[in-house]
Amino acid sequence: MSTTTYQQPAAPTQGVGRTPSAHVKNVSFGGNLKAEWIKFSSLRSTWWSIGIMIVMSIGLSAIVSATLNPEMFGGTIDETTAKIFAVQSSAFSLAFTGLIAAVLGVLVISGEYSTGMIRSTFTAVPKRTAALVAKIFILFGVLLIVGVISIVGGFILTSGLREANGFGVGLMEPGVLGALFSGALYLGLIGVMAFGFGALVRSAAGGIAISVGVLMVLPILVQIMNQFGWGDGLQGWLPANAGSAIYSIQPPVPGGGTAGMEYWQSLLILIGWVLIAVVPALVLAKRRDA
Amino acid sequence: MIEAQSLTKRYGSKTAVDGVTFTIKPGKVTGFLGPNGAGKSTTMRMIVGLDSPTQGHVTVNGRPYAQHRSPLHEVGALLDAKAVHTGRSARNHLRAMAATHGIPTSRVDQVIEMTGLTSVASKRVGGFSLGMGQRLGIAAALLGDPQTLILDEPVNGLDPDGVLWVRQLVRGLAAQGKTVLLSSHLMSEMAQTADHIIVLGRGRIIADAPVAELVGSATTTTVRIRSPHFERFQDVLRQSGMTVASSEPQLLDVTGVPIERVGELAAQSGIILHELRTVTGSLEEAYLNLTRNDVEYQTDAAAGFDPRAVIHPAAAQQQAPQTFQGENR
Repeated sequence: MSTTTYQQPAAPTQGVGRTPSAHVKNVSFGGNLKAEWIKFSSLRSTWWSIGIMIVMSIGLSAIVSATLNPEMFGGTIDETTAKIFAVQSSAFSLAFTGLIAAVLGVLVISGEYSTGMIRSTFTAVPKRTAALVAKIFILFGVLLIVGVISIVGGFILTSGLREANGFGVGLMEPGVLGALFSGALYLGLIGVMAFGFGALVRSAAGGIAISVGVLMVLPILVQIMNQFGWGDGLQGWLPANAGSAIYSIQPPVPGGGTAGMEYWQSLLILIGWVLIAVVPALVLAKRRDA
Repeated sequence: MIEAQSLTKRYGSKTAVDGVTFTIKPGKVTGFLGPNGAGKSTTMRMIVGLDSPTQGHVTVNGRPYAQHRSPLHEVGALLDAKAVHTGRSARNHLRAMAATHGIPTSRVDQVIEMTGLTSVASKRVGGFSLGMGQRLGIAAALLGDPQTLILDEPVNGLDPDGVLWVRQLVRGLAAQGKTVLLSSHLMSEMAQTADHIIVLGRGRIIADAPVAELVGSATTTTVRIRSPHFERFQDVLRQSGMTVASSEPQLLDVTGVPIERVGELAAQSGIILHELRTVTGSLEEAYLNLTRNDVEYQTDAAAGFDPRAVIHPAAAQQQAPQTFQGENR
């Protein structure tokens, strides 16, 4: 555009200079990322959620690590059992922090709809998808970092407690770091899945209800079904179970392999859930009136 | 420049905007008038792509809004003052919007200063009054130094200073050759601000004309007479074939004649006049006449009781005011 300028009008605008519009650039993905980061980081709810996730994660890890007792296993434990429980002590909190990540994921988008902010967002970025994808990037990136801090950090911080109980396992022992990072990945993926649900229903209550339903109610339902002999093997297809499959060290079964699905299978199931929520959300956001 | 071609928006069975075609030209302030539910806001939302038209299309500066590479530089829109996350500060809201277009923070601070929000810029928007919310909405609209400005009810909730400021702002921008489209329910404000008026009613365009032309065609100009001999003068005027109305003792309103003729008649008949003046219609009157049958949500004022009888007694007598196109001019 040309360098047209304003003349500031009168009264309350005194002292304002002329504005060269050469400063206005085209919408870019980098600009979108920056905008979404400003939006994400300038809300209190973001920092509350993050704070609670980290404190809860490290706190639970400390409690579990402090109460681990070899007596439960007849006094002596082998290396694999130690590893399984050491990882579980840090990743076990994901059952709860996953819900907080889901709530945060829903709020990131439903907050825009409930306040009307979405109209400002879509006016600035009328192609819409770019703004939403930028939002997903920021959400996923932040949750990944929060996951690493709370799970890997929690593991390191509480390793002394476990060592004192005879469950000393090093971070670098095979499989440990991978499982812990997978926990962080789970947190990020669950947040994005919930974002998708929130964007689909455009309401905090609806989005949170669906997310909690999928993460907490479905596993219970499938468990009950299993007791009646229905839906065998369905558990592994639910996001919470697929998640725990990737962030746990699975005990080997005699004859090789593991009891459940392979790591990559569970990861694909998890990614599948994310896509089921996010893809229709993006398609609909582009079509629906804001 | 905004160009709409048979723009239509239906919500289920309800037609909010019904095939409107208009061009909003640069260098002028165009006012959007119409009763509640006439389709003004929906039309504005379609211009910036928030709602997609059921039929027809609308372009801004030659392209659909969404296809501009720098949308905020093309159009600045205030459609809804509270299109802001209530938990965020005004400054962060503007910073986020600015970031999408790589607009520097200095420009953010500039629009904050322009709109008089400096003292509350770091406060959360949830605590803002209606007027402060409006100022923030205007600040956001100005952020990208847009070529076209769309303001839906910009003075709603503003203090008199703010109303004056908005008027000067939009007039100033139009004078620089920018396109300005604004809606308002404050008729006197609109009359002072707009050059051109588009009146919508039930989703259709009722009138699309310069302000003076609109007022001239949709209102009647009358000659008002105050006289102690008003009864006698009434007869004189009627005998000369004039339409006379009297809404209170001593007061006569004559339509359809030049003021000079009335004065001459009074002198010829030896009648004392205490007042003799031309009463021209207002934009409000023109608006009420035009939208009389297109009010979506009828109140007493629109249904039975005739507001024109109060505003302008003579106009109430005219069944078809539009036929009086500038007869007295």
